[in-house]
Amino acid sequence: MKVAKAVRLVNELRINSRRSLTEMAKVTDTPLSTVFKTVDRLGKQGVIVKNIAMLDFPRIGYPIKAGIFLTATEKEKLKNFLAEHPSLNTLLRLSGDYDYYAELIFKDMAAFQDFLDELKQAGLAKKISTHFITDVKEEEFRLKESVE
Amino acid sequence: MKRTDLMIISCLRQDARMKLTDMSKITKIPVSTIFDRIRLLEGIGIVKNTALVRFDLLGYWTKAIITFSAGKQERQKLHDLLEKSENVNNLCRINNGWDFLIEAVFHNVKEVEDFVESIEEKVKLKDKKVFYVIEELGREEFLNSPEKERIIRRVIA
Repeated sequence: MKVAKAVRLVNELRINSRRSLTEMAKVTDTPLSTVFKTVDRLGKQGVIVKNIAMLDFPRIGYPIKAGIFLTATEKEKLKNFLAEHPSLNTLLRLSGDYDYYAELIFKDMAAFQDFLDELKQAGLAKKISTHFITDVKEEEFRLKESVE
Repeated sequence: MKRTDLMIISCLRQDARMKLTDMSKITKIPVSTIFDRIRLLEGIGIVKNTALVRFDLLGYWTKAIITFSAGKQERQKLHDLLEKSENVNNLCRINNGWDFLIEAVFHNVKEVEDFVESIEEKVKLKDKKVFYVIEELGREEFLNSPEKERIIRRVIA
């Protein structure tokens, strides 16, 4: 039962994480104290990494979203280069043909080209595959609630 | 976009559950202004507020990035299948030789293989490529702190 409640609460936070605990208690038909304890526990256990606002970047002035697959010449240095870049949105370490997948956001094509130039100049990637991205759905995965 | 809006967005990117009073302390913007701006931004730039979750801690051990390309006639069918799939967390259209890129979540590798097979049974694919995610080094980091927002504004100024 506890697991089922936790799963339900995670899904509710995935739908709207700015909702108050009182609202979540109502929606999930769970006592407020249980909601408080469960959400607190999920945070402490690291299940909930963070609550964030998902943005429509083109509408706020950042129309270029690029997804880049990279194979490193020096893995650690490339990772740090990408992680510290102000345009980085998401960075994943992969298995297979490429070492990393990076998603970056730019205000225009010139800024994107500057990034590519910087990357080439740093000499940290030997293979790069670049793609422009248009989002269709984001953060839509829901846990199956039949865990009980 | 106004500087104040970017500051508010940065706070919400850092923690969507942040109290308006805390946001006010960080940004030095009055609470009433923040309240009004958030309501406005929810109709413009903020799509939704969500929790980012470690699915592996809940039994979903396998995450994959998968790229697909299909012929022009099959593209819409593939789009609809991927959009409806319960495993797909993120779906986007991409260029440069591919049609779609997804990030999908599964219990194990066999589920990934079954998923790809089920797509292939329904859509004639030109190509597909599966990349397993070993580690998440950063997620939704862009504009995620007022400090970073200042850096970005310096860079683009």
